[in-house]
Amino acid sequence: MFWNTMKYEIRRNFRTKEVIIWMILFPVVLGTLYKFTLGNLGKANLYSTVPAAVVENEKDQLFHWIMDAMNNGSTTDKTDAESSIGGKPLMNLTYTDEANAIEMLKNGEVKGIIYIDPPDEKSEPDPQNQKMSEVMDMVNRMAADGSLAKYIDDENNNYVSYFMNDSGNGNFVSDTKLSLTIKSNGSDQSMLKRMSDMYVSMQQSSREMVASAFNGGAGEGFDNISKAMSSDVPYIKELELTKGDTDSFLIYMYNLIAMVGIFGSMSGLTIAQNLQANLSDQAARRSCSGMPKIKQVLAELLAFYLSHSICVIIAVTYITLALRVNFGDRLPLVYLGGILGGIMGVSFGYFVGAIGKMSYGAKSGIIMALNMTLCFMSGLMVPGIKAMIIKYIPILNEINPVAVISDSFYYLSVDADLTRFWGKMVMICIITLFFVLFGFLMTRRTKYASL
Amino acid sequence: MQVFKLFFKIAKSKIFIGIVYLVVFLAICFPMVHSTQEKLDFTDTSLALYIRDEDHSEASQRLIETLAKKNEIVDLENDNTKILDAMYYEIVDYALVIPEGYEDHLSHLDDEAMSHELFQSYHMRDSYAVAMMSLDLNEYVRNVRMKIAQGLPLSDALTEVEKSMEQGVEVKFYVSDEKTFVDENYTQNFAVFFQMMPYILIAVIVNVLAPILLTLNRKDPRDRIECSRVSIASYVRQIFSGSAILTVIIWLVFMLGGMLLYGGMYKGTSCWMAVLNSFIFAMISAIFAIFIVSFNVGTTVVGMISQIFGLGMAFMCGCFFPQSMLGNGILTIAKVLPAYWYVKANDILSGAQLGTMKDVWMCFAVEMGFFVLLLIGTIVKRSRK
Amino acid sequence: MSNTVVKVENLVKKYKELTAVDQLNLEIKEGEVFGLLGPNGCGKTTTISCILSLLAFDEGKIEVFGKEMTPVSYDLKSMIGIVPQNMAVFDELNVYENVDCFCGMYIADQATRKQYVDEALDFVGLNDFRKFRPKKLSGGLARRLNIACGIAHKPKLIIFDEPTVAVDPQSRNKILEGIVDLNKQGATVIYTSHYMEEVEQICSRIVIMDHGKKIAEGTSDELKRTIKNTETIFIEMDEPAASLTEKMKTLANVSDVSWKEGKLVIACTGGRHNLIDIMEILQAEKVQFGRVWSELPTLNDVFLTITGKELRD
Repeated sequence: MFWNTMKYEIRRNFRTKEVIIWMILFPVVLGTLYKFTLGNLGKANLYSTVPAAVVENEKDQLFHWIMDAMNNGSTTDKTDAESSIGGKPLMNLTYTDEANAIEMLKNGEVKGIIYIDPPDEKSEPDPQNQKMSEVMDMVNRMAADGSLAKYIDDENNNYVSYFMNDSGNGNFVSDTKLSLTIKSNGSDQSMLKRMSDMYVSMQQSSREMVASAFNGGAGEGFDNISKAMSSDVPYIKELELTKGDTDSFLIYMYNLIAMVGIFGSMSGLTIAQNLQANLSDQAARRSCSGMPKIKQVLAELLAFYLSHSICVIIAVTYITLALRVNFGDRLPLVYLGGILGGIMGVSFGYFVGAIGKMSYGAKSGIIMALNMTLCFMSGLMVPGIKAMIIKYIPILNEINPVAVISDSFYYLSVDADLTRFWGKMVMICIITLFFVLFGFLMTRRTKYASL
Repeated sequence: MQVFKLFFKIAKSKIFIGIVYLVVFLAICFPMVHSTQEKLDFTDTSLALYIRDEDHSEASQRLIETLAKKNEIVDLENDNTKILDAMYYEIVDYALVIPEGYEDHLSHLDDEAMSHELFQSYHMRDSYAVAMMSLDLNEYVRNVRMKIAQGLPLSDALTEVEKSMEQGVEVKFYVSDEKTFVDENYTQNFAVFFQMMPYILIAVIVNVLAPILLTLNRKDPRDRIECSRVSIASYVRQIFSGSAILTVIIWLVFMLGGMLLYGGMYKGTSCWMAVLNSFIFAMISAIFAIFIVSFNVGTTVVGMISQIFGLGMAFMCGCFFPQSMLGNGILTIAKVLPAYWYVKANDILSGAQLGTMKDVWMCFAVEMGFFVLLLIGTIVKRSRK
Repeated sequence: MSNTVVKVENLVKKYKELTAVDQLNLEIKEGEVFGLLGPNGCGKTTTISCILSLLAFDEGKIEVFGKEMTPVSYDLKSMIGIVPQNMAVFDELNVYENVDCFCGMYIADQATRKQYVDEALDFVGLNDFRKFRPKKLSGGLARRLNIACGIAHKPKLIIFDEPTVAVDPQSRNKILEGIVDLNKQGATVIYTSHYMEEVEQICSRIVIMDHGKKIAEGTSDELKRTIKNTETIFIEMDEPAASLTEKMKTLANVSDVSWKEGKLVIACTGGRHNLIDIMEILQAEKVQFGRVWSELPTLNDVFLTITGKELRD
């Protein structure tokens, strides 16, 4: 009895080709689209070198020197956090005139213009510059007692080599004023602001260093200041949180598989149509049969679980193999999560189908709207929404079926152990059980007010 | 008028589904429009920081206070998975650990102390947050050490640095002399509502309209109508006018919802142009629904098609993200989709993209082109029967 | 002695304002072909749905095989076969699969089921169409499939709810013969229809319903006996003079004389045949007439007499 009913239900499912075809087609199409549309988007928050224009209304040698040192991160073999992020230089500077710089800003070729202007007139002339000869004396003294040699040996473009190279020009610490012009706010602009600020502060430090050179000569003070200024020891040690793939783009793929799962609800809804006498003649006929309702429900559910699982398997296979979303050796668990998610989706449809006495069309509309809401809350359209929900209403994320599935994939991808993944699997089972149980209780003994 | 009346008789039975959709999507729009706040002056990017202080020293405390001035400090449990999740979902932009011995190492300038790392950070991506915090921390440490090298005690050095960090270069905004659509009546913030509109319109209009048309399209009633006195031309006319009126009603409800977000009647040319833009797109959605129905598919399939096209197009054309974030290759492909032109027009109107009013009309024209194409497609498909 | 198979007591079913079934009492005995006759919308299908426990009803009690019928009375349900008014088969399954699918909900054993399904297909004459999908079948054949799905499991009680709607005469006869055969094989049959000829032809006992109420009950003959007219004589002729009709009315056993649509209609009550007397009057009056024939009363006349309207509007 049971197996026979199930057998025919599966046959019917696969003969209703259009549903199966679209059920398979939609993750394939959307997955491909995501891959090519959003593959870049995951990198949107990743640092990329900020292009900027520099308009030198006043010559500033130190600016060139510091910026060159900073932005040629690739020339030093160390991964110096200060000169590059992820191997990318911090800035890409174009020295140009004002008209061109504005043109570039307008076109979006640069994110901002750094102006180097003469100091405001009211500010006093820097006394240090006037004591150039004294500095030269000092450098000479250092050269004589050999203490300069150790700075020269230092290959890391430190300040002393700058002194050595450029002191002859006589304006190694120019007195300039920096300002920044931007078109809009954003991370790039914030970086430009920081780097400009940093330059101003280094310019100040350089002055202080020179000042200390006058005061204490090449003694310990100068030594320390120089060390403090030019130290390129990484101050920040990076700790690893996970060995998994944390590309934020993946959130879309997780949600897509979750969406395939929850779309099982649309198949699940047909169970209502197949079993509730008020929704179809076939269901009325079945309701009159001697086969207990529980057996009918289970046969239907099992049949739909099976056929929907096949759709899920195809979707997961396509996403992992064709689109190369890598889950490593945990691929079998991805299938498990997807299939359980699909089972939950089908049960969800069965549950909604069991509520109330609405027509099939009305229920189908409600299911579709519910699906999209759940997907939205899980971050399918805008990932920030998921973050907001986790932050403010975490319980919602715990019980949202779509979020439960997509989170489980996230855990698979980033967690070292599988505790949290299995937790989600248990959650899926609990939710499924809830849907099936209450769906069944609602329809078990129902007589209808009208057919 | 019989078919027309029948249309609305069936439509009445779909009101409930329609309302469910409207409520859901308006609810979706509200947080969207409010989550993207716009800034008019230069505002430094504020980061969400998680900081774990293991040093519990004056130096570490004061560093945290300094960082808290510009950034938001997020409280998290000291649990790796919690930090991981917070960083993955970007609730936290940067997770910093100030290890034991920070103050000690910071305040000494001997080689041993100098070679010691001062901070630890949980790294996930090479994000802007990492770049900014690296610069900020290095700058901070450099300055503190500079002051110490000059002989200041740590506490004074910190005070000096804190003072100096308040200064910075002046930031000016470049204001173009060209006429653009920076219209205070149509801000980029509010434009998000219209930006998401294509997805919403397709989902709602297709899912409400298609089931009605499918019912009318079912073989028996259709044959009956075709055999009746009603001529095919009149039948088609009535179906089209019914669909058009229903579409306008749905669109109007969204415009009313938009007013709720807007806080009153729409103002200014740009805003009304955006309203017109959405109207054109509503009509495209309606003709799209009619087009799908002419392939005689089931309600479930209509639901899925609307999702594939609605979501796919929304992602490709920049309904959920600014078009500038999408790759050029995608945007080239997206040009064959109506939503691309819709979003482009909307961006020009809100000032997110450069362009003139002529460009906006151009986009409208292309959208109308899609409408005509779908219309022709529908007629061809139907006449083949 | 015959057992009661279905017993309906004081059944009331309301749809909002409309009372679809009103204080209905039925008792169907084992071995009967029980006819439920009435015009469209009189509550036949509602009554059936109540018996099958599909519909909730407002008042009354329903017993099947001596036990109260509930949605979970699976033991009772497994003895019932139902042939609903609408086509209740799956379009995605072919003829054989459909019968097997529904039969499978009653019969677990595969071998037995195969035999039953074959017998059912034989019985309705669909053997040549085993691989056909329902959509490919003509109206009559589809109806037969609908029947096969309801009877394959050899139920003790079979309910036919208007099984011949929209069926060609040939298929209809086949169906009616089949129902009689099933009854002969031991099944109790409930047959609802608004075609009085069918009910008259096969039913051993009939209940006539109108507006949810039972208005008459009995065998076909019993029902006909309840009305005054036992025979109606028709004579084709021009409109007669009033005197002629008056004269005829004075004849014994003539209850009514009227002229309708080119023929004289003479209603006669039981007893003797009046034809010769009538002929004599016509002869005497020298009235020209065409064909002359007489009709025995039908259930339609019964219905007409009780309700004042035709069974089929």
